[in-house]
Amino acid sequence: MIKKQFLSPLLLLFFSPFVFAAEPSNVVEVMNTLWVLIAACLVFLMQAGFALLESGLSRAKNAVNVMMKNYMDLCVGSILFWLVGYGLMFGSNVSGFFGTDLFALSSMTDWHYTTLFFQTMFAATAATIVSGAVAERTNYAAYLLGAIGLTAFIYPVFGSWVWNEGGWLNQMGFIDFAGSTVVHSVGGWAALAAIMVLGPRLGRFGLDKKPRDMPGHNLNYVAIGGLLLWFGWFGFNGGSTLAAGTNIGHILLNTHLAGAAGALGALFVHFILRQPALMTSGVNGSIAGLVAITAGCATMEIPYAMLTGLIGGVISVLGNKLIEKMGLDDVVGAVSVHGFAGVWGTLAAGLFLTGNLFDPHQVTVQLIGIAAAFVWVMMTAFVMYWLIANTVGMRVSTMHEQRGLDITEHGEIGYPEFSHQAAYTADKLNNLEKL
Amino acid sequence: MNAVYTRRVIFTAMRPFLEDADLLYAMTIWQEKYASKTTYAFTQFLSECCRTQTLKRNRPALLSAILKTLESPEQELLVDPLNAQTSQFDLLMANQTQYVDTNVVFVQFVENLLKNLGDDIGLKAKAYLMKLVGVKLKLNTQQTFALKVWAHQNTAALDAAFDNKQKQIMINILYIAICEYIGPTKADQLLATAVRETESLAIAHQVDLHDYL
Repeated sequence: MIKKQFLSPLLLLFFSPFVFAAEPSNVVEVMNTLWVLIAACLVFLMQAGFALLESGLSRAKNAVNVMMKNYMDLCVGSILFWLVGYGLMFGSNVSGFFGTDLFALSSMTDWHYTTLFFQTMFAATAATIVSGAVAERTNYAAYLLGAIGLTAFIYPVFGSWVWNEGGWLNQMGFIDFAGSTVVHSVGGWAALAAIMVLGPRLGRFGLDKKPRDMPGHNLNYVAIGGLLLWFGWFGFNGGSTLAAGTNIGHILLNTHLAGAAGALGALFVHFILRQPALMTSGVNGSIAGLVAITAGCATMEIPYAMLTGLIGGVISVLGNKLIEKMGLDDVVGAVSVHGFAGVWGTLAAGLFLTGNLFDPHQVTVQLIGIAAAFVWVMMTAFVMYWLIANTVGMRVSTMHEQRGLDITEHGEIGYPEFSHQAAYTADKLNNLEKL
Repeated sequence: MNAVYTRRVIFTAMRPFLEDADLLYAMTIWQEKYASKTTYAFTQFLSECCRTQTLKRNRPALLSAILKTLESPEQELLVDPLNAQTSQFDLLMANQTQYVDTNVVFVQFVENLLKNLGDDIGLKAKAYLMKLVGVKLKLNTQQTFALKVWAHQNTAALDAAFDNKQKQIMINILYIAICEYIGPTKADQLLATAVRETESLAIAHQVDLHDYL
């Protein structure tokens, strides 16, 4: 009885005369639009996932700052991508290197708006990857300037090489279905450039250069953030079909199993190294698995998708150790999870291409694309962050690090009712001297 | 001839000529500018530290006293003014207590911050402060000397006027040191503990502890 009560309105909705009023060709268009927009909304949800994950991995005194970075990079990134980025990425691309129209898109077809909305979410994802890596020590304005540079120039120019029909990597047959390289490696390499310019947080490395653990303040946020990201990934990969096709099930299953295998791969490394099964590693491993499958999720059989995810998870742990060995401070492991796992996923998309397994030509093309992404992003992002560092100032002062960026950048405390054990309490905020 | 010996020579030679405040000033200048020089520049030192007309007139006598004391046996020298055991230092400090009251909360806060580090790291943190304080702050010679005395003597007195901004920077340097030596997580905990432990003293002295933070 209860079921019937719920089903009746749904049946009314789907079988209403308005749905069937559309022409048959128009129904396909409507379905495609609907699917891509739903997928875009799922990708939007990934912002919440990133915000929770990154905030959870930061100390309580920087929790608001991390949230605010994720919130505002979406805002400025979205506007800049509409204004400049989309045109550079998807405008007419005669040179093969960047688009030349579709800037500040207006008065266009509905499908243009749909793809712009979907691609805006992707651009915001690429930008927000950086925020976790540079957490707890970055000037807020400088970070937003970096996000603008990334979404308005660095990301769309590389995107035009791959996803624009006239792009030179696209012409070569480079496979990156949903953006292991275009979105994740680009974000990862930008994060790498940023942390190289920034330097590590105070005391992150001991005087003997050994890394110190700096545990995040809320591991529950990390887990919920990871799960939200995973959920959003179904839109990220599934929506990249840009059509409501029957292959979406395969894509989502590949995506899901790769994520699961990634978590297992990461924990397997800890097991081999006789280390405890860290939750942060499990979550990062699953995200690395998802990053890795993103390039080949539509062109890979399920066992290969799982293998891709599994190796992605292994890479996330080992990559993080490499970053630490290099004396770099990546708060959330973004370089390893998005950069390194993205490289592997893009390579795997060439290796495990259904119907053309282990084709040396395809693998070569994939390697060229991977190298191009690294060189382009590292070069431009490093120059951009260096310029920001030497003008606006990239790094906050040690006094800011002492107080925490919630207070110094936003004048707020993340947990005012639970900060009695902290040096800076909510009731003292107004008395603090402005830095 | 080591630095401690030379300092004792200067201190012994000048003691009969100078008032406590002038002697403290002279020793500060010696320590700041001349102690680390490879060759002695006594004339230059004396022209800098003899500020009054009387002292200026006494400069030849002072120079002669220093040169003569240089040849004296070590056991005849007064004890090192920077040595914790010396009563000479206490004598000097006893007459220079005008700033002690205003610094008592600050000094106690720092002691509370450092006490849980252990002696070894506590000393290292103080040394770190002394190394960086000149870089991050423009201090006058009296402030520098008072800080050095405080750092070396382990005394509760900090005998120079420091404004809140300077105190804030000094605590920040100590925070950096603790981050470097034992890690940022522990540093945050120690900072919070020191705030709680010093709060009642701060209230009693009508000082807002957060002016230093």
